[in-house]
Amino acid sequence: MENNYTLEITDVFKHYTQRIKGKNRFRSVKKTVKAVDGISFELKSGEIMGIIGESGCGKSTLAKLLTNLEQPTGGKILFNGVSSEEMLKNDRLQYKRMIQMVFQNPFDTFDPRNNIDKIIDETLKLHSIGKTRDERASITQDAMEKVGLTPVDDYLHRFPHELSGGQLQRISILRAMLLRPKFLVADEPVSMLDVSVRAEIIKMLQEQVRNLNTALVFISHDINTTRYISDKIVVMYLGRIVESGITDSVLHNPAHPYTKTLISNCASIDILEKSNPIKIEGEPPTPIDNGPGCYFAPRCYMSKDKCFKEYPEKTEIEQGHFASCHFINRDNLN
Amino acid sequence: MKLLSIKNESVVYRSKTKNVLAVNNVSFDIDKQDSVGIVGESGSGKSTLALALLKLLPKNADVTGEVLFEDKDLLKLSTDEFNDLRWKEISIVFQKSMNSLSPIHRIGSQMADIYTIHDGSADSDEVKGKIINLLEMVNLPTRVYTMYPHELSGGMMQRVSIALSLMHNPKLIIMDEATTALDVITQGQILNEIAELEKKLKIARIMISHDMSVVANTCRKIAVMYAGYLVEFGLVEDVILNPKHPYTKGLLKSFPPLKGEKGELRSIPGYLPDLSIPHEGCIFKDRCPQKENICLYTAPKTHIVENGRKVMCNFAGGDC
Repeated sequence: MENNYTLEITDVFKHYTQRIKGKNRFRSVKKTVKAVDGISFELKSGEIMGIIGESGCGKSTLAKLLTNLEQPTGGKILFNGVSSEEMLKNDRLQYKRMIQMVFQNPFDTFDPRNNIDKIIDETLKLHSIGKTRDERASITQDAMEKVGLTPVDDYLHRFPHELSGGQLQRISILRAMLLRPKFLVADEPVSMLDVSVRAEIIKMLQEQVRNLNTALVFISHDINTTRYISDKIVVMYLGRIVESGITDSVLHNPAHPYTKTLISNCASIDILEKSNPIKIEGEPPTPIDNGPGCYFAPRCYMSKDKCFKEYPEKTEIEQGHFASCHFINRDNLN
Repeated sequence: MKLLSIKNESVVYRSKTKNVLAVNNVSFDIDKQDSVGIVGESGSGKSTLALALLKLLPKNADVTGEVLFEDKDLLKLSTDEFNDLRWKEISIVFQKSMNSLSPIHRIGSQMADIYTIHDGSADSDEVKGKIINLLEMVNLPTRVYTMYPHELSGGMMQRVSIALSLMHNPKLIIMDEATTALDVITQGQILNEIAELEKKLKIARIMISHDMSVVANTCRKIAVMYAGYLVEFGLVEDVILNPKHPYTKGLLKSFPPLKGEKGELRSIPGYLPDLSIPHEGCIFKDRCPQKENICLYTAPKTHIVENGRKVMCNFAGGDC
């Protein structure tokens, strides 16, 4: 039972309203920004899912929705069949223990006035793990030794500003994992770090998640790193999933033009291989008044009339690999 | 034809309690229309090296050595003489252009200001024409001229910064992490544009980045820095395909590939040494996977291998 948790998201929306200057200069017009626009996926324990996309495509909003830092406008987030609202009503702490988050900037994650000892101890105390201070201290000690932050005493008495980004990020992951969450959301956990320490953090994250059979949602705009860590991958554009599937199946055999563009623009270290980046215009627009056609159509290099009229259906390409594009079934176009 | 030649440049930051040796005896040359990428982790002295070329370092930094730019020693020029050179011959693009643009002036007037500082004789219509030209060159719509920085996206602001740096047709552009803060697609677009502009305007470029892939794709030569030392220098093909210094090897291994096997991702264990303490032997010895006794006591010399390639390692003399 404990090993088979599932996270199920069905049709989750998050809309923000924004006031924009209208034609009448004394009157503003209400506009809806569709940050997350109908997302559904399923995640089983032990799986690692990567979410990629440009900035402004709703990756981080989705992360906030999962961890209940923002309430969804519509749709359901189910943990093993129980909705997040219900769980929050019953036991707030239990919900928080079940889903944890690792943020992008480790320097902003911690209270700068507390030392590492206090930071970890407080979390444990809040969730009543370990009855006495000594017991909690030994839990901390064990956990820190396991991830190689030794000598532990050396770290415990330091303050966040005295540690490097890589060390702090490890403590951030460790703190989240101490609660043995069923789900972990990592929002760009390595993008602030140096390339030389990135590998270490990713390996640690992977190890921790594997040991506890936790499901991980790994959000990043770095495709190379996401490929390395994830089993499944989801490509988002303007609040919608445009392609999803097994990591290598999506990255080696992309079906959606947006995925193709992302991959072709990804700088490779292999200089022998001549890359031919697909050029697309501009940057993703703010998701106001999209559609009715495909959201990507205005920037797409192969858009046709139909793309502007109808949003493409989700189509299965091979097992477990879905994409939403009119071009997958060529007959659809005529 | 040499454009810039750096000889034994060292930079020391002095403070009351300690002196930090941020750049240590670095020498390399840049030809006309050449492109050199400097890589290394944070704190390895990449930016200090570049800022020292432009004399942008704070007062407590001592720069020694020689920097010859078209046979003038930049470090010996007076401030006035240097101001003639700055921006007209050498310009720089910073990482966070949103911080280098003034938030309360329109893009056009900011750019015009900078233009007239270096060329006072130009009349305003001429300057406007020139700036609109520049904006078009970096693929920005002309309406940007009357916009404020907050109305632009990160990629557009970075383009404005690049347009600024191209204003007086410089011979050398320094890009200090110019595309690091951008998205994959925008980064790809801007890197392509830079490469094209470079060909058209015949500019040499120094590109500072901690991302190996960016340098590998856009530069002709690569300089790898570690703790203030230039540990490896050479043509991109040579260095990437056949790295000789263990640090370069480590950096390349910590970069996950997009295609092929998911090999083991390896990071470089340990941290940068404290640069305020004098050290013995090789600077990389604490983190090096292939160190031997000789590394503990003998500081490696810079070996010159083929094609003007330099490697600073005790084992680079052919027996590695």
